[in-house]
Amino acid sequence: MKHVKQMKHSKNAEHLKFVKDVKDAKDTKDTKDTKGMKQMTTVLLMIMAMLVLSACGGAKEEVITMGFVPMRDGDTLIESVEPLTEMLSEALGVTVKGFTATNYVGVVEGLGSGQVDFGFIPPLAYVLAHQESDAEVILTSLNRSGEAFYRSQFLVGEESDINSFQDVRGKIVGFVDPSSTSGYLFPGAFLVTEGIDLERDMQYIYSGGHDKSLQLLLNGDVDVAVTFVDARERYSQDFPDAMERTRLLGYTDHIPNISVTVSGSMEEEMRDRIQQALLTIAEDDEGKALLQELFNMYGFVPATDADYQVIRTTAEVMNIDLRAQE
Amino acid sequence: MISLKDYMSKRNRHRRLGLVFAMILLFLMGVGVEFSLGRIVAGLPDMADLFRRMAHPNFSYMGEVLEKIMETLEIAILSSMTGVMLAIPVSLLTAENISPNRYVSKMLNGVFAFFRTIPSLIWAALLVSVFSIGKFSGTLALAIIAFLMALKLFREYIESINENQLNSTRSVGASSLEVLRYCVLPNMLGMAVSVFFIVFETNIRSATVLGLVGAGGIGQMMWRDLNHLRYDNLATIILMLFATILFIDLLSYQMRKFLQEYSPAYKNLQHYRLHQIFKSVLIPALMTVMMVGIINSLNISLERLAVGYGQGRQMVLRMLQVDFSYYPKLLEGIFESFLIAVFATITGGLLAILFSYFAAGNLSPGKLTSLAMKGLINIMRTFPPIIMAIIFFRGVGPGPLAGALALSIYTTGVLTKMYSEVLENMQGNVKESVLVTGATRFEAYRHGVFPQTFPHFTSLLLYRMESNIRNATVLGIIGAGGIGTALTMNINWRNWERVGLLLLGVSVMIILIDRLSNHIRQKVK
Repeated sequence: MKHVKQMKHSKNAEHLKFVKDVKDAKDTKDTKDTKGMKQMTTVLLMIMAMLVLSACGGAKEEVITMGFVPMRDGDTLIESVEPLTEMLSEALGVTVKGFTATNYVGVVEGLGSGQVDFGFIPPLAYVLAHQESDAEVILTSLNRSGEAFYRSQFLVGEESDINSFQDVRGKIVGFVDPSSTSGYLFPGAFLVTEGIDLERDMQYIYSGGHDKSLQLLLNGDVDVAVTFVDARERYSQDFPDAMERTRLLGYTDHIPNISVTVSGSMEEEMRDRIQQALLTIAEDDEGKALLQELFNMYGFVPATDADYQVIRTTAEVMNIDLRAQE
Repeated sequence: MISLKDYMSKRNRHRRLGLVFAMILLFLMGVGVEFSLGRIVAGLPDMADLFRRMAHPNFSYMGEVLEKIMETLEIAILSSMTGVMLAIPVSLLTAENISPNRYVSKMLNGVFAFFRTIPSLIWAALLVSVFSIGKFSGTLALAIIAFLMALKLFREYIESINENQLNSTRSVGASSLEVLRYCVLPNMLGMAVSVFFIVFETNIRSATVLGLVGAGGIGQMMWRDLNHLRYDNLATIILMLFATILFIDLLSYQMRKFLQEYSPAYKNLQHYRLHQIFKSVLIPALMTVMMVGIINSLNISLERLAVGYGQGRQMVLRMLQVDFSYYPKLLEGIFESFLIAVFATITGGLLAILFSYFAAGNLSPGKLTSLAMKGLINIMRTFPPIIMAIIFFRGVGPGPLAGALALSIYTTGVLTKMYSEVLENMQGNVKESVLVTGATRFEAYRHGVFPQTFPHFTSLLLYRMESNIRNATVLGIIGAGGIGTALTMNINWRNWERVGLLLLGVSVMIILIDRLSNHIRQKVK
């Protein structure tokens, strides 16, 4: 302000006008600034209010989210489970919406964070979710023959010299994915119980998919591939000669089927209602067809944590330390 | 004539409108990505627990990790080298001023512009379906990215060569080959090394996540630990990766600086000749040795390439039969990606304005503050957003919110770094002149330095927007929202006709946004 005052004493009229302009501008600017601040505060307050509103909005209307990962062994990619969620909404009297995850860790973390209330997840994912956030299994799905378990297969090349599991020593095995129960955990444990040390006696890679395991075998990148039964039929369009060029080495032990798991924070009453609703839907003709189409499931049986104990012992065989070191 | 008063009030109004507009946009985007403060707050204990678990890295794991980090480095080095080397001859065809045929250059540029819109992770996912998993697919994917990046840089360089220089060389009777030899190539070879380092810096980051789609490198381990919820192991990997990337950035920066300032003083003609021989023989020889060594480690046989060719042909043919009926999913995904990108750009922009003040050495209240801030933003920008998104899974669950938060953090990091460098490079007089009026340092930034550099900031912000759009298309691969979810699932299911449509849609969106952003940038300037 000092130099402004000095300039005020100047006799130059032009200068005076300039000074006045500057002063005016500064004055308006000052008021504008406080105004601007006020406006900023208003905007911020509005945003806060809206955020709070949106947060409350979520709590007001009860919505239950069903998480799932499209079945890798399904015929087609299922991206919408709307028909099923509609049936469930009707049965429960609460809006149910579907959440498509690309992988199981998504559903597991979703169950922990409250993003997902219940989901269709494979056994290993259930065990992890149970350990992380006390998620509880309520149902196990049934397969085509009405069993609550399935197996996966070991495939080798048609002209391979591998005739028994002992011959796997020194060879390369293609597993599916570290989170896969059928593509990694059980086949791995099977080899371990056959006396093969996965790290020392053989090499292995993760293919990322049952189709890719098959592809690796056909390309000659692995000597043994692990897939569901039977990936060769499922991918016959992509690999038409898979049946002739590969042969079956054996099956794994029985693996518990996909589970229906609810989040640990769900109230018991709601848990029972979901269990009942799914069991009812599976009895219904329309519901039955839907479950087959969407998830390749042929019904449910009630399940408890004890049914999945086999996963924990298998994980132990595989030296997967499920509980992280604290 | 407009009076100063009017000018000031008008300008202030504009500014305020701009801010309000940004806020409203942010809010709308926030709704789009299911932003909810409640969810973030509720997720805080979970995230704290995650960090607590990550605070005990499993050091016995380091040997195993190191092995995979070396593999990651191999992938990044080999792919960057291959890409840059291939780009040199092709850039001669694509640069409009020296290309043998104008139409050829136009066509090639169009094709490459389309390819450039496909993110590296998508390339990798596609190539994995062709050549099966392993580092070969990853290397090839990054080589494509390196090629496209280098091509663009080279082409822009060649097109900036003065027409007079080319004409004068032509006028003395030089053939087009001689023009290349004396006008174009000499500088390009020197430039190639700098370009290599620029590309390498990008590729090392991309290489860390290739494993998510099975394309080799450290990502596969990260994915396994994540799936087994072994956050202690994950912490080991992240720490070691951070150190590696920091080291490479530093090395690359030093090398580029060295090259820029490098001008040897030749004692005599013989010395000069020796130097030329050294440059033209030894450097290529060294590179060849390195390449051969690394290619050998990749272990690729010709039969495998042949098998891959057959499968790749099948895939491309089916992709060309675009399945247009799939468009609802495309629009939904693209819209979500767009929301994520805009949300991240605005949040990142607002935070960067604030952070830059503390980070810029010449403005920051203290040297220590500046250093601490710089450290923080380096951490924020080191990790590809896709990894950050996985960490947010824990707090807010999978979905677009995790992706949007992760991308916001990344944007804040990159933008703060770039903008604070702009601030540091600006002359002190603007700041000083505001300071002498008795304003505080922050006021000097707010009313002097910031308005002065605002056009520059906008330009940086728009570049971030372009990059964010690309990033937002891959977040879905791990389930963090956007088009990536549909893309990765259809790739897994080998629905190539649908993949064709999705890629086309992504590409059109990216090209449109690039155009728009370019347009705005020109206007701001």
